This record gives sequence, C-alpha cells and structure tokens, in this order.
Amino acid sequence: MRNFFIIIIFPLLTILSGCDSFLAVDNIDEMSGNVFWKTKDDVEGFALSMYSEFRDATMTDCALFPVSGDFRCAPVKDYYDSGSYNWVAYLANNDLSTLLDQYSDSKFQGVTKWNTFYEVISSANILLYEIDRMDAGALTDNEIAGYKAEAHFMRNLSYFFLVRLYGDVPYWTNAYNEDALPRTDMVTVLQNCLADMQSVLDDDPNAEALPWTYANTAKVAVRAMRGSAIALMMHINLWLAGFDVNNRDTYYQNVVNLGADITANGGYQLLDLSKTNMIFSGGSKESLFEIVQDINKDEDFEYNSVYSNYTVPENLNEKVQPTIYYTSDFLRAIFPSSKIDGRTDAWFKNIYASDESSDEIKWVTKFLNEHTDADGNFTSNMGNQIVFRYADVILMYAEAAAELDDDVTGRDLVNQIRNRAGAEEFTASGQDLKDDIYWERVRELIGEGYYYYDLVRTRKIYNGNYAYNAISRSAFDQGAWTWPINKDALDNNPKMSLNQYWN
Amino acid sequence: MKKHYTYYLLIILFVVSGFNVLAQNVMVGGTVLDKDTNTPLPGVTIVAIRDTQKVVKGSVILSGTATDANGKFWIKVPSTGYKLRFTFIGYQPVWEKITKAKADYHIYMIVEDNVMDDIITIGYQQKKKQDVTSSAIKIEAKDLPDVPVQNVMELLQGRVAGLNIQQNNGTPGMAGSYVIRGLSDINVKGSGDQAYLTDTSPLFVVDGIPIDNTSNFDYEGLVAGSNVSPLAMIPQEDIASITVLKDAQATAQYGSQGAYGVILITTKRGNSMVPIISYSSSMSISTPPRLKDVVVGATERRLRVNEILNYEGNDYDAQNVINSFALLSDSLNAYYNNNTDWQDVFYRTTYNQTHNINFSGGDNDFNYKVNVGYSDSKGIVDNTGFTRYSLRTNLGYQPNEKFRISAYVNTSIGKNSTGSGNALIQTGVASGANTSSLLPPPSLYTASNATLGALSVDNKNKDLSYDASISLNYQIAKGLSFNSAISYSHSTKTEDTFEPGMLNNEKPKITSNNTFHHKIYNRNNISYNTHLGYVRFGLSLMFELSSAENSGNNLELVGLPSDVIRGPVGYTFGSSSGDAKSTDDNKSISFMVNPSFGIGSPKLSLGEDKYVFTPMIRPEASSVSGSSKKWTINPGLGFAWHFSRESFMKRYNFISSGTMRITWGRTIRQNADIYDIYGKYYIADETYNGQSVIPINLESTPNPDLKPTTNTTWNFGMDMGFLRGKYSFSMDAYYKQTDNILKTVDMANHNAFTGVKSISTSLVNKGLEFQCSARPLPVRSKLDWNISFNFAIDKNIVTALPNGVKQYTQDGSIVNRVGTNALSNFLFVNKGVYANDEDVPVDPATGLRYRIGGSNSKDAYFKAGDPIWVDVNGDYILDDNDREIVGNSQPRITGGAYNTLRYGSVSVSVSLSFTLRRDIINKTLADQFATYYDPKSLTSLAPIGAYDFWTPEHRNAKYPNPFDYKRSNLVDPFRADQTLFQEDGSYVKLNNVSLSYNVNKKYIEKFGLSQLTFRFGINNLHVFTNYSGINPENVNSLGRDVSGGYPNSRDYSFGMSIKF
Repeated sequence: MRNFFIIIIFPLLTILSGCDSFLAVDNIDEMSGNVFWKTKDDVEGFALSMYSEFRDATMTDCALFPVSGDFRCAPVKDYYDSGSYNWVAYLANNDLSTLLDQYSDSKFQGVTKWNTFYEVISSANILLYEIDRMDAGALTDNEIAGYKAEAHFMRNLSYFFLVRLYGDVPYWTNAYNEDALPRTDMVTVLQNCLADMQSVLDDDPNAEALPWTYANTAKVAVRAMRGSAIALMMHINLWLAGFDVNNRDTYYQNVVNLGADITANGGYQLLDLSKTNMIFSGGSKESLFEIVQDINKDEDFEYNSVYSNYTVPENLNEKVQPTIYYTSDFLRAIFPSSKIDGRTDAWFKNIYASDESSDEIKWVTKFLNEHTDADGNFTSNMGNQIVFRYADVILMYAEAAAELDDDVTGRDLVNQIRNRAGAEEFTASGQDLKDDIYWERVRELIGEGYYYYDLVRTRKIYNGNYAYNAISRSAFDQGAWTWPINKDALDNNPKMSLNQYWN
Repeated sequence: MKKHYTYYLLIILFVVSGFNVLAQNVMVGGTVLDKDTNTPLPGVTIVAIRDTQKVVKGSVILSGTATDANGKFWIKVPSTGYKLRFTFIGYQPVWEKITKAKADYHIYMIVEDNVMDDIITIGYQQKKKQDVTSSAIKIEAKDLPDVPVQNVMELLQGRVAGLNIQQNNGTPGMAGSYVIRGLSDINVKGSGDQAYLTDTSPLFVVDGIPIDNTSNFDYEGLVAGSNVSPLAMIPQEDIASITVLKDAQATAQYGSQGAYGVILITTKRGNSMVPIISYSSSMSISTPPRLKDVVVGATERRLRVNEILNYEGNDYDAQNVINSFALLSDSLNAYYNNNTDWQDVFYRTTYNQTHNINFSGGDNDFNYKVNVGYSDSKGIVDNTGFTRYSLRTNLGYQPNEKFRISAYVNTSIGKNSTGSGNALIQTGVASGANTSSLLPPPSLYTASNATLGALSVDNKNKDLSYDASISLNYQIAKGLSFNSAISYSHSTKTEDTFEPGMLNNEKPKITSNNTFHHKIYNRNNISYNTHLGYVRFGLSLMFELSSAENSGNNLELVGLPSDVIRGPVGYTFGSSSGDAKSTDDNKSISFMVNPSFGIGSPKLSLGEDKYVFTPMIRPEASSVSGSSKKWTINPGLGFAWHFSRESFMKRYNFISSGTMRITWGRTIRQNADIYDIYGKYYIADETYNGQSVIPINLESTPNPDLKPTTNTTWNFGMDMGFLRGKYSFSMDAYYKQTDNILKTVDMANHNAFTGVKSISTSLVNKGLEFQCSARPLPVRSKLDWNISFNFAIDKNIVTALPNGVKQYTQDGSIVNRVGTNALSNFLFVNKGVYANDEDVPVDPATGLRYRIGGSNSKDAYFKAGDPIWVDVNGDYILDDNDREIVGNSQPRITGGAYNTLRYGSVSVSVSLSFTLRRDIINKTLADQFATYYDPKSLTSLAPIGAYDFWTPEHRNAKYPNPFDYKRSNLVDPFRADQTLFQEDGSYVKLNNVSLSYNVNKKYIEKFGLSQLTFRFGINNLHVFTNYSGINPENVNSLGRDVSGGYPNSRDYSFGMSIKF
C-alpha cells in the first residue's frame, strides 16, 4: 500500500513542477495574442491586414475615390435623365444632405463612416507596439525597421485621407486605445503625421528599411516604398500650405526638398503615353503606391468603387451610355481642340462630342482594362487603384517651386509632363505658370481622385474661374468642403461633435 | 445497527435473569415496524415497567425480551398498570401502555432524527452536520416525490430555500433554470425572443466527480448544438441523496467552478446481505396545457373583411384588396373554407414510459450495484421527444479496515429531437400553430404547405457518454487518511437536422453538428484528525487536476437532390459550408488547505464540540487565465456555535439542538477567455496580393488587466431542533457581493474595436432563507405526517457599471441601473387609450399633436384609438427616451412546501412551490394582437372579442384599436415593451401529488416478491395565478412570455415497483 501511495504522489510532484507547461493550451483554429507575434510570418500576415483594411476602406465599403475625389463639385452630368441618377447632380452641386437623404447606397453612406480608416490606424498602432515586444532574434533589425516604416506610412496615409474627408478628426497613436476622444485640429493632426514621416526618413538615411523600390516585382508600389512616403509627405505639406496659410512657404519648401530628393534618387520614371495601360495596371516604374486588385484571386474591388465604371458603359456596349460624362465646356477648356495633346486620344473616346449627341458618346478610357469573369460580372478596370504616381509628384514639385517663385524649376517640371503627353511646352511665368500647373494637374490626374481636393486646398473651389460648381466662401468657411460624419460617431463618445455645416 | 443485535441480546439475558414472576400475568405480542419503510425491525429491546415510574437508573424492570428476525415479540406482563418500553439504537424510544392482552400490537419506531449526526459532504470530505459551518441542505431520495420525471432536479423545485428552480422549458430532456441565491451575472445574450440571461447554473458533482452541466462549449451552444442536460441522463431511481451548498465558504472549496453554488448528487450503493433485484416502471400520459384561443372559420373571414373595409382608406381600394385576395373573397372555394384547429396539429397528448432495474447487494466489505434504466418521453409538441438508456454500476470493496476502493462505470445514450426548434424555443411550431383557420387541415393538398414544414424537419440529437471513476481510501495511521479519485469521462454529441425544401426555398438542407468532450480528473487528499483534550483538530490537504478538451465541427449541405434523397454529400458544393472548432481546451490545477478546529468542554462527550472553526484556502490555476494572472485564491472562513450544548441551555430541554453559524467566503472565477485578454488573430478569408492576411478580431480590445469575477458571501445562519427533532427550522441571511462581472462595453467608433471587456460591474444580493420541517404526530400514532415549508427572499442591486455610467440598456427593454434591481423592465408606460382625437396632447410650441418619433408622416400623429404612452421627457415625440423603469423581471420570493401522510401501507404526498413578486411581459398576447396588423397575412387571429378594445362606438377602452392596420406598423400599438402587457407573474404551483400503496407482504410472498408498491401521481397539476397567459412559469429567464416557448405538460402517471 505504501508503494501505491508513492506511485500516486510521485507523478503529482512531477506534474506540479511542470505546472506552466500543463496549463499552456494550444488553439488550432484561432490564435490568441500570447501565441501570436512569434515569427516573421505572423508579422507579415498582420502587416498585410493594414493594406487589406485600407482596401476595404477605399475600394470595398464605399466609392471613395470617384465620389469624394472626382465627381464632387466636378463638371459632370449623368447621361440618363431618369431621376435614378440624380445623385450625380447632387454630388456635382455639393448637395450632400439631399444625396445622403435620398440614397442609402453604401457607396455614398460609406464615405460618411470613418471607422474603416481607423481600423487601418488601429492595426498600424498594434503592429508598432507589438513588434517591439517580440522575442529578440525573430526578425532582423532591418526587417523591424521596415515593418515599422510601413506601419507609420499606413497610419499617416489614413489620417491624411480622414482629414481630407472630414477636417478635424480624433488622433491617436497608442495601441488598443479605449478612450473616447474629441476631434483634434486638422493642422495639428497633419503636422504630427509629417513629423512622424520625417522621423521614418531620418532613421533610414540609406533607404534600407524602406527602399526606393523592391527587387520583388510583386511588392513594387503595392507595399509602401520610400517614394510612397515622400509622395504622402508632399501631399500633406501642400494640404497644410492651404490650411495653415501663415507657414505656407515652409510647407512649399518642404515639398521642393522632398521633390528634389525623389527626382534625384528615386529612380522612378514617366512611362510613354503608349504604355498607359501599363501605368494604370500597376507595378510600373511610374507607380508610387497603389491598392491591389487581383481578379483571379477573388480580390476584386466593388464595381461602384472603380472610377472608370462610371465613365465607360457596362460591358463596353457602344449602344449604351456610361453613367457619367464630363461636360463639353470643361473638356474643350482643358483640352482645346486647337492644341495637340496625346492624352485626348490615349485617354478619351469622342472627347469633342457634344453633350447632346447620341451617336458619339464620350468615354474616359484612361483606365480601360476590362475583364468579365465566368459569371458575367464586368469591370472596366481590373488593374490596381493608383494612389500616388510619379507624375503627381512631379506636378506637386512644380506647384511648390512656382509658389516659391522658382519659375524655371516649376516650368521644367511641368514640361516633363507636357512632353510625355506630346503637348506643347509651357513658357509662361508668375501667376500664369501657376495656373498652367494647376490645369495640368486637372488634365493629367483626371479620374484619379484629386480633382476636388486640389480645388479645396488651393481655395480655387470658391473661384468661378476654376471651379465649375463653386462653393461659396462663407459656406466653405463653415465647413461645406467636408463630408458629413455619420451619427455613429456620437455613440459612446460624449466628446464627439459632427461637422456643423452638415449635421 | 445489526452489529449491535447480539450485544443487545446479551443485555436482555442479563436483565431477564433478575425479574420476578408475579400473579395475574398476561401475554401480549405484536410486531415492531420501521415507520418510514413499514418493514419489521429485528432485535428491538422491550421491557415492561410500572406505568408511573420514570425511566431512571435502578427502576424496577419486570420483564424483558427482544423482537425476532421478523420483528415479532411476545412478552408476559402484569395485566394493568404497566407499560412497555421499546428501544433500539438509532431509533427514538417508544412507550406503549398495556390495556389488554392483545397479540397484534403494531409498534412503529422512528429513526432518531438527530440532525447533528447527518453526514454531509463538503469539499470532498464527509463531515457530520455539527462540524459544518456553512449553509448546506441535504435531501434524501425517500423524501422526494414519487412521480416520474426526466430530470431529477424537477423534484427539487420548491424544496430548498434559496435554490430557485423554474421549469421554464418543457422540452423533454432539457434543463430548466437553476439559480442559487439570485443573480450572479447581469449580461443578456441573444436578442428578441431568443434573448436569455447568461447562464449561472451551479456546479453539479455526481459521486464526488464534478460534471460540466453546460458542457457544449457554453450555454449559447445549446441553441445550436445537441442539448440534453447531463442531469437528465441519471435516472431518478438511482439517486440516493442531493445536497445543495449555498454559501461561499462551502462553494469556495470547489474553486472557480463553484462560484454559482454547488449541488452534490449521490447515487445508490448496494447495502444488503441478500442481493436485491428491484424493478420499477411507470406509464404516464402527458397532456398539453390550455392552448391559445383563436378565432375560427367564418368569424375569422368576417373580421378580416371588416378590417379592410373600415380602414383601407376608401371603399374602392378596400374592395380591390379583398377581391385580389382569394382567402377572403373566394369563400366558396373548399381550399379556403375551413375551420382548422392548427394548434391541434402541433400539440398532442402522449403516452410515455420508464423502466428501471436495480440489482444490488453487499455489505460494508464488498458491495455492488447495477442500475439499468430506460425512459421514453414523447414531447407534447409533435416531432419532439427524448429517449434515454442508461447503465450505471458501482462496486465497493474494503478488504480491511484501512483500505477501501470503489469504482463507478456509467454509460448512457440519450436521443432527443427538438423538431424545427432548438433547445430554447420552438419557432417553427409557434408560427405553424399560428396559421389561419381558413386553410385546409393537413392532407394531400397541403403536402407542400410551409406551415407543416415544422413537422417534417427531422432533427436527431444523439448524446453518447460514458464515464468511469475509481476512488481509493487508505488509512495510513489513526486519524491520518489518504484519499484519491481518478475519473475519465467522454461524451459525443451529434445533431443532425434535415430541413425539407419547402422550408428553405425549395432547397432541402442538412446540417450536422458534432461535438466531443472528454475530461480527465484527478483528486488527492490527505486528512488528519486528532484530539487534544477537548480540542479537536483536523487538517485536510487536497490537490486536484483537471484537463478537459472540447472539439466540434459542423457541416451544412444546402440544395440536396430532393426531400427524399438526402445525399450525396457534396452534391452542391458551392452552397455548402462547414467548419471545425477545436479551441476549447481547459485545464486547471488546484490545491486546498482546509483545517478545522472544534472546542468542546469536559462535560461533553468526545466529538461534541461547542465551537467549530473552519478556515480554508484553495489556490487554483487555470489555462483560461492565460500567463499573467494564472493563480486565483479562493478563501473561506466559518464559525459555528452549538449553543444548545452550553450549560445555561440545560433547562430548556425542549430544545434538542441549536447552532449559530457565521461564514465568509470568496470564490473567484475567470470568465474572460484568453482572447479577451490577448486578442484574437485569425486568418482572413480574403487575401492581399495573393498572400494570406492575419488581422486581429475587432469585436473586443484585448485587455490584459481583466481580473476574474469575485463572489464574496457573508452568511449568518441559525438551526434549531425541538422535541428530539420533531420540529426543526433553519434560517440563513446572506450578503453576496459579485465584483468584476465581465461585461462588454461598446466603444467610440474611432477606436476600430467595437467593444472592450470591462470588469467594473458589481452586483449585490441580499437575502433571507427560511426552512422548517415538522413531524408533529406522536410516534405511536399509526398516521405519520411529515411537513416542510421554506421560502427565500432575494433582492439584488447593481452597485457599479463600467465607465461610471448610471445605466445600461440591454436589448431595448431591459435596463441595468445603479442602485436598483439588476434587470428592470424598461417600458413605455401605458395609460389607456385616447378616446377622442382631442385627448391627444398638443405641443404648444408647434401646435402639432404628440407623435411617434422617427417619422414625419401624418400617420405618426396619435389619434383616437391609439394607446396613451406617457411622454416622459415632454418633447411631444415618443421615442426610446420615454421608457421608464417599471417592474423587475426576476422573482423576489420563491419557496415551496412538501407534505406526506402515511397510514400503514398507503401514503400520499403533495408538493407545491411558489414564486412571488415577479413581473412578466405577456409577449404572446402582444403578438396575438399584432396579428391584426396585416389582415392579409395567413396567421390566426386572436379572439379579441373577449378584450376591452377601442372602437368608434366604444371609446373608453383598455386596449387600443387593433383594426387601423394601415397605421399599425408605424404606431405599433401592441408593442410588447409597454406596461399594458406587463403583468404580475406570481404563482403557486401544485407541483405534484402522488399516492402509493404497499401491498401486504403475505399476499405477495407466494409469488416470490418481497415488496410490491403501486403508485399514482400527477405532475404539474395546477398553477394558481392571476396571470392571464398560459403559464407564468413558462417564461424565459428575462420574464418574457414568448410565443415560441415549449409549454410544460401535465403528466398523469401510474407506476409500480417490485422487489424480489
């Protein structure tokens, strides 16, 4: 019997000593935070969730680029006069209240919801927090720096998008924030973002953590690159130059410095106009940052989120009109028929057709890269969504140089774009050059989600010479340039206020 | 007691040798019987003494004898002035006056009910009741009513003060709700009709092995998976006793699992030198309760037609609507001209049976038991039922005084069908039974009628389980013993459901859920007991290990070839799905140190302490808690004062026992899981750039500071017994504080995560429990009467909510507000009906009438016939801000009474239970009224003729105008969340009445039987209540009487048991 007693007690003591390992439970199908963050694969998978969430925020849950960037206050009309496309007019006339009242489509309502962008921000913050707590040796220092730079980029990109949409937004950078926050002044938000990005560049002087480009072509422009970071910083600076007017020269100077860096060291280039399709499919030498669409892997954008689905007819049926057309006034103004411009043919069909014509229908074919899947689902653009590209950077550089009265640099830069388009070079200077650069942005970046924001940041939105559907200055000052914020934001947040102009 | 048999004979011989023979002697004789079992008692000592003499030392004993093996005695006594005294160890002495020479005296003896010596098991140690300081109530099987039930817990309803059992679900094999000492959690899961309170069932320990009652991952799993309660797998015939532990000093000894109370179940063991084979069986008839009243036939059609004519707007439109709806216009069509009682199609009377064979025998050295049970009960809802097969065995062997081993092997198969519903609710039947009476009854023409789909759903739940355990006891030295138990249990539950095409868009569907559960459990303790003078000291050390694993998967196939061909699997791959879950492993390690001290006095005999002090501590580590805060510590303290043993109590000799108890205990339970603490990462369905994406789940922010829920209880108790235990009562007052209740708090939407788990919710329960029992008739009375009564009052108060807020609303109409009861009804206050349009208040600012919020249409303004809802915030708009706290969904007073009368071989027992002060929302009635919202729907109509409702002719009414259907969906006059449908849910229920008759032995002996008992019983006999619905007990845990609930049946049973 004594033996038996020992037999019982002995294993107990053994088990006791291995208490911790006994209590450790492995889960197969889901991972808890204490078993995650162990390997590079974990970090890679999590890092991709930031990009995936950004895709959801922009290309899945709402029609962000076309609705907020291209068609708002733009000289667009709908081909159908049936009433179900009234939204085009509401959007063009900045009548967002009526738009949101009458259309419950998520393509509009989604734009009022900011939580999808905050998911990106949250993931970026978690990555920055958790990667520092990982066991030493799981990643090399350079890998850690690289992932952190990507997280900083994705976080600041999201804040930039948020600010452009709503103005002041809650700003937080800690992981797992639980506090309800008020909105922070947008200038402060963007200045923080800028400082954040600057430290990424400063910590990485040799572009090792965040390289200019990737050897792995699948990652080029799909994952943040140094060029993506610089493009974002140039955009933020220009936005600040518009809203923090007292310091505008500092911001322009920043843009010039960044522009000089990227043009000298980046190795990016403008592709020939004949390679338009290559530019907008993604991954080219001109591309700086883009959102992935991969039709073959079920990673497709929402039909409504794709700009060109509005400007070419479904299934490219020539008998059918696309949803939206740019007015003849506008197209003839930016592409006068008297002047040669390769883009009129490469990017448009029937650009000079009249608005009333039913024989010749205007298409914007710039992004045309159509695909119809086995189930008959059509999209006019199966390529990636370009967020930043080199032409945009050159134009921002030109704009800032011209604003700092460096007309020579400004002109040289804008003429790079002109040359690529096969158009006549600009020779103007002073205010004319600034206008030329502005209109060149309108021409070059049409359909890429910049039209409205360029009007806003340069305040041309209340100048009838530039804006076809202007917002009055007083309305602008009351916040008419922002989007309404969904009432959900008030839930569980006593410190929150919505945009007064709209709500 | 048999051991003492020879010993007593010796005494008698000694006594007999000295008695004097007197003249005028007569011989009297008779039988001595045990009053409880009506069986003869051999070896009872009988002496004759002078009637006037008190029984004191040295009194003259005239003659003496003892009963023989058949309990018969024969004694010579003087004819007058003498009486016989019967004594037997363990029984109360009995005096019988000799009046004449009779040979057929029937003397009944009664077991001496010394409560203090009852054995109670607490913390896996057997203790005498007098050494227990906490609140524990033990009920022997013989004191349970003799009516067949599927789940033995049903019989405990109203028997234990503070154990609130509500049979709120009549699904065969399903558990009702068991709550010990009020609420412990205030979280509501699910929503609408399927909302229920987070389960806080007590821990069940069967024969020393804890079992997982809600084993299917959690209570929520019951909605989806197989749903047989593990308790329903134990046949009631096999149960020996049930003990309920209520206060935290006792439950802390079971660690975190015991946080919501502990119920110990002991099964029978062999205990007879002669092997006993007994067979018992019963047949029962289950009848459905009163069903809903509906309007039938032509009346229904007329009601619908009138409704449309009066409220469609204009006659032209109204006629159009009627004409386009064949059910109303084509009254001569045989298909639409019926008078069908749809409830009759779904509800039925069923015949059920149970059979149980028990084979047992043995003595202390070696005993065995085999119990084979079969029970079949068909549900009163068609297409539901529960069948159980069980085989339970145990063996005990004690080769010497020091060593004992016992082994248990139990297996069971449970099969049940929930039809088209699930364990909580019968949605399919609820809607099916609610079909318009104008449609034809089930026939060839209605083969594809969706209402009948509920009957063709084929739902099979199989629950196979086996468990085996072995326990060893070794006495190392005097007072020092070692005990070890090892058990293994395994159960497989499968649920296969087939839904015919008509219920699923012409796509037949099969779902299959499989879950596996297995658990290894080991417990070892060493205990030491010693005396030092009159100070007693005990120490028990325990070590416990448990490792449980749950895994499960489910498969769903949609679009099978036909309703008949249920395969092949994978036929339509695209619309089918399945997933596996294997995450629920659970391991724990715990220790317990449990010393005990007793202080007696030199005047008392050994073991009779005046003061008992029992501190204990149980550290526990569990895999749930993750790595940062693994160990939790469950402490407890108890003190008891047996004041009846004090010398100053000597003169109150009618007080046979008296104890005051005070305990404090804390149980700690980690309700958060590892994902709540560290976050949950999963592989997303979607890839990015062809690579897999692993995001974090955004439902809840990881919160590493989550502390476990602590439950601290103070308990003050008093037990007293009078007149040798003839009357006894016990009272307990408690203060239970539950802190760190886990609650999900919603967050601002800029935080990406939708919520965070918070532990800042606290709840306090205060209560009083009273329990008394009496056996008032004198022992020699042929009639035996046992009566017991108990009640418990519980009051709960929310003391803190997350983020310091004052109130939280859950599922719309339930509110948690700090300082009030935890689950208040949050309703619109109804003050009647607007008799005229002018009665509607007008906003002086706008000149507009009071209206429904959220709509600007003219229909939104209240008018005559609409309900008057109080505009609490005075903004002339009715919205959620106008709700008020009115009523408490939880019962405040519960209790019951039990009464047995036995006269010879006939016994009758009655038990009743009551629940007082509870507010119920009669959603069934609200739903019935709401059938008038759409006169074109094919649902049955409530016979509103019986209700006082508004019409233009009858303007002062209780219920709003039901016919204004064009506005009904906007105004929603019959919304359930208003005081119009809140009723007092107090009830007194006659749980059961049973009658049994023991056939006289002499008639059955020739058939080789030793006992034959016939029984008749009625279960769920009657509910006395003012509640207007069907059954105030048959409501969900949130006090909502939802129409889909499974009604409780009334069962008439006839049974017999035979012993060979």
